[in-house]
Order: sequence, then structure tokens, then C-alpha cells
Amino acid sequence: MDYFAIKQNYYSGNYVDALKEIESSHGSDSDETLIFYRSKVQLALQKYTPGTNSTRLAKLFDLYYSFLQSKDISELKAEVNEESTKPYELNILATALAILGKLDDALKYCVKGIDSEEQLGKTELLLCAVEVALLNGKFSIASTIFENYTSLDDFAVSSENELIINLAESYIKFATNKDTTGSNFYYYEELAQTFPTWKTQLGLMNLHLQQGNIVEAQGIVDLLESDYYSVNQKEAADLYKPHFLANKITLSIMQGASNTEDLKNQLADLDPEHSLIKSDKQVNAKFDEIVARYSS
Amino acid sequence: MKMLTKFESKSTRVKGIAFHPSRPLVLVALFSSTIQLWDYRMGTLLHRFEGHDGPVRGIDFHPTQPIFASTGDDATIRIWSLDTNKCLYTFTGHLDYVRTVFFHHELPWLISASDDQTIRIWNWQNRKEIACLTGHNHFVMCAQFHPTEDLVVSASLDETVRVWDISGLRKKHSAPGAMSMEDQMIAQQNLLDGGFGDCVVKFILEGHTRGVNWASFHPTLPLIVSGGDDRQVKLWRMSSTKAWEIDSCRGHTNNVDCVIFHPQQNLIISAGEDKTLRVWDLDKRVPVKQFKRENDRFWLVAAHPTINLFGAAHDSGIMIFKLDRERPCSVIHQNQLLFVNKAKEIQSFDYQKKVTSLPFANLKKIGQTWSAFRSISYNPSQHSILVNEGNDKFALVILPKQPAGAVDPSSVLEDTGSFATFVARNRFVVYNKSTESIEVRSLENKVTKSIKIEDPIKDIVYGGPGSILILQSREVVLFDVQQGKKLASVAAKNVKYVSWSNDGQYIALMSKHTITIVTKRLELVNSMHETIRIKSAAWDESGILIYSTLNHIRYSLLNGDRGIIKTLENTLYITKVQDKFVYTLNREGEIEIIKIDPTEYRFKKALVNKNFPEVLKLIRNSNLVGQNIISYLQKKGYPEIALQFVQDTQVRFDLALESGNLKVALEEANKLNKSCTWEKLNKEALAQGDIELSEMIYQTQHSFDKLSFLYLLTGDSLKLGKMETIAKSRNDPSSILLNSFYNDSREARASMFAELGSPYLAYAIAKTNGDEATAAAYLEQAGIDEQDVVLPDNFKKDAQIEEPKLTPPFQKWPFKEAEPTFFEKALSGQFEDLYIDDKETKGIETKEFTNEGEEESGFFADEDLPVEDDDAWDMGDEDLEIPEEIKQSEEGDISNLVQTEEANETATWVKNSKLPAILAASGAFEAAAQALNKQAGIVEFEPLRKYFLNTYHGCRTCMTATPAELPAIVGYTRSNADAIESSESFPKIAGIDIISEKMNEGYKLFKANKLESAIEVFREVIYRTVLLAVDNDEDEETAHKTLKKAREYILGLSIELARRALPADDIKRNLELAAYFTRAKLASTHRSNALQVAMSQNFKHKNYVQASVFAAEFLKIVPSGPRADQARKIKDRADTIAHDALALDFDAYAQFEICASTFTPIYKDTPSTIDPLTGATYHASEKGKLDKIALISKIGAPASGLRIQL
Repeated sequence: MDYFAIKQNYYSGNYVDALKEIESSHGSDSDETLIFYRSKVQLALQKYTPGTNSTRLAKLFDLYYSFLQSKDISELKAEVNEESTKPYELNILATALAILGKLDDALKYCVKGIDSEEQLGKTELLLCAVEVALLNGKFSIASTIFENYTSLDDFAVSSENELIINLAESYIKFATNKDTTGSNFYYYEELAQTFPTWKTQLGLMNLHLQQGNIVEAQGIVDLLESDYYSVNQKEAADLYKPHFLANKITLSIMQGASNTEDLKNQLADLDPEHSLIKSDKQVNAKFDEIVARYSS
Repeated sequence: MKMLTKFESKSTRVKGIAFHPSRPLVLVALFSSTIQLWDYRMGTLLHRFEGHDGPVRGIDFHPTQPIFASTGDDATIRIWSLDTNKCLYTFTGHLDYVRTVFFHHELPWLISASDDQTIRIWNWQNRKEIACLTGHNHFVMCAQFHPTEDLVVSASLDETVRVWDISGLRKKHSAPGAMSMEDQMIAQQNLLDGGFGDCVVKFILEGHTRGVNWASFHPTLPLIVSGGDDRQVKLWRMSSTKAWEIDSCRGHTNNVDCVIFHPQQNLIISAGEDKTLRVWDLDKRVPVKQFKRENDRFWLVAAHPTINLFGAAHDSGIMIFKLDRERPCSVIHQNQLLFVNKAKEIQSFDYQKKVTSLPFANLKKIGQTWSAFRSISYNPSQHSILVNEGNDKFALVILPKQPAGAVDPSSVLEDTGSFATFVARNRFVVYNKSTESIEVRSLENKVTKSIKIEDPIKDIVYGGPGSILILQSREVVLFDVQQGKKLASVAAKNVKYVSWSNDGQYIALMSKHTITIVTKRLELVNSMHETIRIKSAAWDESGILIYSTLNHIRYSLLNGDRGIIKTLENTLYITKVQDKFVYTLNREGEIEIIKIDPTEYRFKKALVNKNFPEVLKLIRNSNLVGQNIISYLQKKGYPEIALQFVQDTQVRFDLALESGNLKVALEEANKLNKSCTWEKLNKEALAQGDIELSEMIYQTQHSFDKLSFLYLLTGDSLKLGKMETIAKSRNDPSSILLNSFYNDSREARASMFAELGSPYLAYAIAKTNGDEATAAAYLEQAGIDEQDVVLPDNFKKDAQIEEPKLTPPFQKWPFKEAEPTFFEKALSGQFEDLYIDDKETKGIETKEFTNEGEEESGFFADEDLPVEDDDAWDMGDEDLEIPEEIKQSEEGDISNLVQTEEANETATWVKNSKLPAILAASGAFEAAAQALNKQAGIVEFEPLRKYFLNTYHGCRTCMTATPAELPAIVGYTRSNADAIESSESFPKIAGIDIISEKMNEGYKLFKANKLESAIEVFREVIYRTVLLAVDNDEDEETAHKTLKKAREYILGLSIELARRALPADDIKRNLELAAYFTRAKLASTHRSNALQVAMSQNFKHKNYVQASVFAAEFLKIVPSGPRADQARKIKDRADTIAHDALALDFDAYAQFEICASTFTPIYKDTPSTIDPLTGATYHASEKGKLDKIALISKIGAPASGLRIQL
């Protein structure tokens, strides 16, 4: 079955179309790739309904769904068999662990899946592994995992998986500041032109910010605040609002604008677990110590 | 190398061909005795010249005059006029077939070669034979002048090529004075020897083993090329004393009939009876290319003198062709054009700076030497180009980062395949002819995908992100490479080039004579045909297609409206259009920028879009004229706009009528005053129901009957009555009769009949009118009896005429009043606020801007700054090293950083710099705080919290992970995103520009009298400066100066706020603070406020002497205006009183500082201390306290000075 359109829409953040593609694909109920992407898309669209499929993978997604609500991973962890090497299953578990901040564990499961013989979902797991390593500040591990995978599987890469590999590569480059003005920028520019979605526009905005392109970044903010994005695509707007706010905060600081605190407060209200808010809390605490030390 | 045929004509056995030097004309000499003149660009036969008796063999255009020469088997040479198409003169003298004839490049001479074994030179002006060159002992097949020297080369069947010196002939035929006596003697002797001894054989070139058919000089080098029946092409070199054979080019399999040098390139071109044209490398004497015809022998090849064009004569006609493409390959990326110049070097051109770069690389080693590249594609990500070599090969060339000259590229990857085009930053497509498939390849040239395409492909070009446009012979296909599927197609034949609009919405598909405009989804917008070949196109910013043909730059709107912008002398390839500039590449591979007048097409576009303000602006500001525009406007239904362009009365009248503008039409009709004009106007007036105008026209035209009828129609009985009277006075019976009917004046009618001798009719009328007496009188007048008159039976008296119902008479039909058009409104001045003059608008804007910005900009202008106190915060001598303990602490902090985040970006930053800002950005807050404490005595950090955090967050950006519920991935922002070396890596920190903006914000608040807010902003300036990192001296100096300025404003404003907070009865302190405020080093315009306060307060409280001092200072700054007038009055008044009511602690003439804490003077030699950060001065007693300016540093603390430069 051709998953190209599904994956393309999913990774470019066009979840509505991705769901349409999935629904029109007439694939089997036990098709794990379909289950994986259907669940992912439904989660992104906040339309996930547990119990609609009886396969093992679908059940794991049900558990993942309840984990997202409760942040209790125990059931999910117990369900994913210690011996399991299925990339899709490990992907779910690793993602959940990463959300909890257990990055070393998450990476361990990812590596296990990548090293296994099972091919289905391996590229997706690679992406997860790269992200987990980057979140853990282990940039060289991220690069090594990526390079090993791509050098081994270069000829086996299909178009649909190439999308995922490109995304993984772009994350590594973004986090390590590689090709910021070159290929990585053009990757996002190309993506945003071809699939103008919240996700791709925010990706491009990040690359602009990374280059200090204030005017261009502001252009994207204006664009995303236009009706086309913020009203017509309200679901996506809600999903990406915290990320958007985080980027706006960076931009506002670069511009020397006075609304930074206001934006931070909005983000803290909306998503107190956001990386920016968390790190803000950390550095604030650090600063408290300084204030205390010098004032005493 | 490719032969690109431009024109072909069919005729039997062509023997000669000649190009016109400047016009697209070619002469063709036929075996049938006819000479044809063709326009090869348009492909039309212009004329046939008949006159020769037998085959025509030689033919040549004069280089400058409108004449040409021909010759043939009838042994005559004819001179023809191109103006009259007639033979002007015939030279006779040759005794046998004449093979060739050529004009001299500057003298009025002709040279001919004949089977009579002679070469003759003729003066076509005085129509005399001036030389006969004998020596060949067989037919002379060809003779030509040297292009610059006094030499002739000839080729003969006697197997020799001869070079003749004809300098003697020139001398003889120059002015007599130029000849020495000796020369004249020799000339005489020559004449005696045979009469034609002025031309001597210089060299005899022997080497051909059969008869030689052709010999030509090289245009610039001392070389000769010849070809003969020995099937060889020979190259000869000559010096001033000798000539020798260099080499032979072998390959022709039959007689070589003609051989020439390429006028611009080091090539030889030969034509042979083996049905081939062959191209040889002049330097290597090896074959480069051959072109074969199936059945036709080539007889002649000729080169155009200036452009890359050749003509060849063969058995069934001629062909005009060029060797290889001349279009320089180019590709646009953002604001830059990459192109391959004539020397096959890749260069770039910056459209913004209008600068061409040095070459990036030399591509000569790629592809074949004599073949131009077909196209290039650019990958900005890799900074590489794909070169399509045109021979089913391509090369991927990585360019150096910077253009450093024509060096060989460091990385070239060549492979088989056509139409290589980048489709993504890491992928390109190539067409594989053998498998008939498009292959997607990685940058390593590995095939990642192969897509079979059924129909043959002519080219592949960019088709938007991830897509390509496949150009096929009958259609263009939009193809998604990733998905491997066809997205759309449009039928368009032989599309060769493609141009995308700037917004990516439209595509212009160009074939030889057609431009098809389609949307990005290949939906047809319009298609247009051009008779002249289309060469290139580009879209301007507003979506108008500007294209070039062989000889014009033209435009086309999306609706298909087009026009000519400019005529071109040489073919140009448009690459970009921006405003009034068309950027082109010429055939030499050079940029040519052409200025055009875009008014016409902008006007048309505005009209099509109904953008009437723009239309009006263009009308008013440009000189759009011409029938073209007028007819365009009429055609488009805008006669009222066309009216704006016209002066001619008749045209104005016609346009006014067409647009229904009766007022203008009347004005113009008055000027024309022709009956047909009035008639037309009247027709329109009636149609519009303008009775008054119609009435006026009838009156002026004396159309009485029509006027009467008009009155009848409008029910104006009064005027009808008058018309009857007029008719009577004019004595016009028919008019009287008519009016009598209209008015129902039966008596008048009867009386008129009676007068005209028809008493019967008069009687009948009177009778039916019931006027028996008058009827009887008529009977009597006629001398008849009542019985003789028979009246109609069914006649009813008084019933025929109905009373008019229209009362009162109306002037105009009750039409609804039409809304005036935009133009009518605009032209009648109804849009007062409509800026139609660009200049004016700009002028106003500029002025406003200047007024508003004047003060702000003045603050940073050096001349407006008060003189800085030399004793102020000077860090120069105290710029101490950071003590060891700080370093240790920093390192401790930093090592934590390294441990937690692997060897990453922030660790690199810290490694590269220990500036407080860099430390804060890296998250090493502790180290940053210590540095600030030691450098600037900062002890209170709370106010800096926001700036620390912002510095930290400002160089990080969060990318959404996949899935979005994962924590965001953090990326780092560098000050130089291009940094390659890690030592160049620093975080992005808000720069000096934001500090300048904040200062301006402070000034605005100052102006608005929001002093507390202003102080806050000035403090922000200091806080931001504390965490600044600049990379040059200038910025560092600006930052320190700005900090000092901020300090002075905070000090001054704090004093003023303290003054305002005083109780009303504390007059002395009030006046003192007002006086101290004047000592703050503010910009003079702002200081005037302080002086004004001090002046007013002192005057108000009767401190006249002080008031006068402040007034005097004020007037120095503000010498005129109402405030100055007031100051003058105060000063005059104060000076007359010259008395102070209160003694202040303020000496206007002494040097002192103001203590920033107590707001009291610190006179010279008084113990004082300075704040290490702000440089504010304090009484010594304030030492150790918190600085009142920035509220963060400790007064008098030891410090090394704030460091902000990287």
C-alpha cells in the first residue's frame, strides 16, 4: 500500500488531509502503519476515540491516550513487552517516556527497536530516537544514530520514508546549528512553500529566528495570525498555540519589544510544561540565588 | 556544437549567397539567371532581380551603400540599386564566365574573378576597369580583397592560390599629390607594359594537387584558407615576405567548393560537393562537426559580417543557420542571477547592487570545447550548479563560496543524462534517454527513484517546490517528482522556455512564435502569437509579462493586451524586470540593463483593473499620447478617459459624443461649426432628451421646420406661435402650412391658400372651420358658387384637433440624473484629498517625517551634543583585567554547563567570550553576575532579572517536535549564522540598534512630559547596555556614550520630579532644583525646557537676575518663535529690575556637578565619588550606597569598567 500521501500530510502538519487520506485508503483494519498514523493524526486533532480497534497496536495507543491525560506511564510500560522489538510499539513507549523527561530510558527503547530486524516503523522510530537524543542534549548520539541508519539503508529508503529522514536530519541540524543559512533553511522554506501549514510555517520561523531574520520571522507571525491560519484552521492553531507563543517570545526579545513578559505569562497559562517555561523557571531560580547572594 | 537553422528557401541550384551587413536580408544567386532578395527573419521573398543572361554565380552587398553587385556566365558584372530594384550599370570586359564578385571594404572598388584567367578590379563609381590581374593560367575561381590591407587573394584551377599586392593601385587612384615622381614613372612604365601593372603577385601558394576553388583571408590574422578539388582544406600563413602552408584539413570526400574563417571564433567552415558542411578547429586543424544533406551538394558558404549567422547554398536552395546557441545560460536565485559568460565562466549579478561578480569558476573543461551549454540549475543549499552540456551529458559543479576568479571548480561530477534540474535541496532530476525515464538523484548522483515517461521529452524545467515541468512536443506537464505523478498538463506545442511570475502564480510558456500564459496549475489564461521569434520573458512585480523578440521588448497583460516597449538593435535575453529596468543578458554573456517606460502597460493594467486613481495619476504625470492609446481606450469602452489625451477638435468631439459628454461635445462643435457636426450633436442631444441643446442647434442651424416640430413635441405652443410668425415673415408657404397645422391656425392656413391662388382650399378650410363669412369671401374671390365645391361627407367640425396634453412645456426628458464617473469627479476637482502627484505626496511625507524626526535625530548628532565633561566616567586608564578569582568562579560555572549539555553550542560561546552578556546568554548567570559586580560594581540584580532572562531566551528558539506533544527541540541563535569556525560562534544578543530605539522612546516620553516613564526607559537603556555584546569599536563607543546620555536624562528628570514634588512654599529649593535641572547635559532642544522652567520660576518668584541669566541661555538655543519672544520680554523686564529676591545655592558661572542623590552642587575641590557603572557624581558621603541613576550599582565601588566588546 502507498502511504506516501498519508505520511506527507502527517509530517507536514496537515492532519485533516492526512486523516482523509487514511480514511480513503481502504486499508485493512490490521494494517499497523495505518493504525499508527490514524492514531497519531487523531491525537493531533484531539479526536482520538479509544477502543475503536482491537489490535495490539491500537490498544497501546489507547493506553498512550490515557497516559497523555494522566501522565501515568505504568500501564503502558507494562503492556509493551520487555521483549518487544516492534518499532511502532517502542515508538509509543519512547514518546511517553520522553514526555515524562525520562530521556535515557526513551533512547534505550528507541535504539533497541532500530537495532532489531523488524523493519515496519523503523524510520518513524529513528525520528523518535533522534528527537529524544536531541532533547537529552546528546547531539553526537543523535547524529550517529542518524548517520548509521541512513548509510545502511540508503538504497532501501522509499519516498515516503525519505520525508521522515529529512525531518530527522533537519532537527539535528537545527539543534546543532548546522547549515542554518543553507540547506536546513531551504528545507524548511521548501516545505513551507509546498505545504503551508502551521507546523511548516513554525519550522520556517524557527530557521529565520536562528538566522536573526527578524523581519521575515515577523512576516510569519503576521501570516499565522491572519484569518487563513488562525480562524480557518482553528484546530491547528490551538494545537500549535504554545509553540507559536514560544517563538513569538524569542522574536519579541530580538525586537526589544515590551510584550515579552505578557507572552511568557500566556504561555505559562497555556502550557506550563513547555520547554521554554520550564527553562524559564530554572533560570529564574538560578537568578533568585544571585539576587539573594548580592543583596545579603 | 549544433547547427540551428533559422531560414531555408527552396530553389534549384543556388550558386551564390550574400548577407546584408545590417539588415536581415540575403541575396541568392541562382543558376536560372535570377537573383532573389529574401528577408530571412520574416521568411519573405522581397524581390527577384532579372537581367543576367545565364547562371548568376557571384553576388555581394555593398558594405554601406544601398547597392549590390552580381556576376555570372554572361561575363558581365551588374550593379543594382536596392532602392529602385533596378540595374544601375553593367560592366563588361571579362571574356568568359565570371565566378565571383566582391566589393572593397572602403574604396569604391569591385573585384571579379573569371574563367578568362584574369582578375579584374573595377571602380563602380566612375564605372571604369582599373586593373586587370593576370598570371593564373587556368580559370580563376575566386578573388577577394583583404579586409584591411591592400592585398588580394585568388584561387584558380591552375592549382595555385595567389596573393596580390595592390598597394600601387591604391596610390595611383588616390589624390595625385600623394604620388611621388618615381611612383608616377613606375606607373607610366606599368601602363606601357600592359596597362595594369599596379598589382603584383606577392605570393604563389602551391600545395593543392587539383584546382583550387576558393581562398579567403582571415579577418584579423595573417592567415589564408583555401579549398579545392583535391578535397582538401589548406591553411596558409603569410608574413610580409613569405607565405607557407601550415596544415591541411582532410575529410571531405568530394571537391571543396568554398571555405571561410568563422568571423568571431577560431573555426574554419567548408562546403563540399560531398553534401557536407564541415567545421574545423583552426588551432588544432581537427574536425569539430559536420552537417550532411542527403541529396544536395553544397556550393558555397558565407558568413554574416557581424552576427553569428551563416548562409549555405546547395543544390536545392539555401539555408541560413547559426553555429551553436548564443543564449547565455542563466538562473535566478533570490536577488541574484547566475550566468555563464562567453568564456564559459560562471558569474553572478546582484540585481540590488547592480554589480557583476568576478567569475566563480571556469567551466571550460566541462562538455565539448565548441559547444555552448544548454541550461543550468542552481542549488543554493549546496552552492552548486547543474550544467546541461547539451550532448546528453550533465555536470554537477560545486562552486566556491566566494567568487575569486576563473579557477577550475574543485568538485565536478559528470554523467550521462539530459535536462538535469534541481528539485529539492538534496535532489535533482535527470532524463535518461536510454530508459526513457526521469531519474531522481541525490547529490552523490545516486539514483533514488526512476519514473518512466512514455512520450519523448524536449526539456525539463523547475515546476515549483518538489515539482518539474516536462516540456514535450505537444504539451507541458506538471509533474510531482516525490509522488511520481502527473498533476496537470496543458496543450502547448514545442515550448522551449518557461518564465514564472514573481508570485509563482503564473507561468509563461514560450515557443518560437507563441507565448502561452497558464496558472501554476497549468490552467490556460491566454495564448498569443508573435510573428517575430520570441526570445525570452520575465514578469514584473505587478504581474505583467515583459518579453523580448528578435528586435523588440514587448509587454503582455494577463488579459492578452500587448504592446511594444522598445526596439532592440541586438537580441537580448531578459532575466528580470524591476520597476523601470529590464535586466538582460546579451549574446556576449554580459549584463545589459535597459531602462524602459512602463507607463503604457501600467496604464492599461490600471484600466483593466478599474484602478481609476492610478489611471488618473498616470494621465496627469506622464506623457501618454498617440492614436494607439486613444483607440485602446475607445475599444475598452473608456472614451471619457481617451478624451483626456486629445487636443484635436474633431477627435475630441467624436470622443465626447461617444462618452455622452454633451458639454464637451458642444464646445468642440462650436469650434468646428460644421452642419454634419451639429447634426450628430443634435442627434445625441435628442437621444439624451436635452431639448434646450437641440433647440439651440436648430436655431443656429436655421432648421425652422425641425424647430417647429420640436416645439410641437414638447408642447411649447407659445414658441410654435412664434414660429408661425417667423414663417410668415420668411414668406415660406410650406413652413406656414406646417406651422398652421401644428398650431391649428385654420385662418392662417386658409388665408395662405387664398394668397397662393387656391381659393377652393381656402374656402374648404374656412367652411369646415365654420367661418361662413370668410368662406363666402373666398367663394366670391374665386368667382364660383358654393354648389361647385364638394366637401368630404364624414367631416366633423372642430373634431380633428386634439388639445395638446403636455402642459407646461418641458425642457428635458425626465431622466434619472447620472452619477458622474470617477474621471468626471476627479477632473472637476471633487477629490480634494486625492493625491495624484507622486512628487507632491512624497514631498509632504518627507517634510512631515523631517519635522517629527528632527529632534530625535538631533540627539544622536554630534554637533547637537553638549560638550562632555572630560572628568566624567573614563574607563580608558582603568580598564583592568578581571581578577583571578572571577575567572575561577566563571570556570566553575562554565564547567557545570559543559557537564550538563555535552560539548555544545553554549559551551562554545563561553569558551569564546567571557563578556557578561555572553555568560548570561549561555546560562552561566553566576559568572555573569560576578563579572558585572567586578566590572561595574553591580550589587542589586533584581532590576536586571528581565534582561538576564531575555538574553538567555533570546538566543534560543523552540522547534515543535513530532509529535507535537513531545517537548520542543531547542535551537541556538548565533550572532553570525554563517559562522563556520566554532571560534566565530557567539549568541545572538539584541544590539545597539535596540538601545538607540529605546533612547528615542525616552525622548518621546520626555517631550510628552511623562517624566517617570521616561526615567524608566532611560534606565532600561542602561540595563540593556550592561548586557550588550558588540563586535566593533564604533558600537562600543556609541553604547558608552548612550549610557552617559541616559544617565544625564535620568539625573535631570529626577531633579525636575523632585522640584514638582516640593510643597508650594519651599520657593528657594524650587528655584535651586529648577536651576540644577539646567545643568543636566541634555540635548539642547530638551535643555531649552529646563531653561524655560528655570527662567519662568525665577521670574515668577522675583529672582530677576537669575531669570535673566536663564533667559539669555534660552535665547541662545531658541533664538526665534513665540517662546523666544516671551524669553526676550522676561529678560528685558528682569534686566530693568536686576534684583534677586532669594539667594540660591547656585552659581551660574561656576563649574560644578550635581550630586545624583542629594541634588545639590558639588563644586570643584569638594570631596566626591563616582558610580562605577553610570559615572554619576555623588558627595563623598554617599559612597557605598546604591546608585540613584540605575539603582543597581554601588557608589564608589572599585571596578574595572564595564566590558561589552567581543
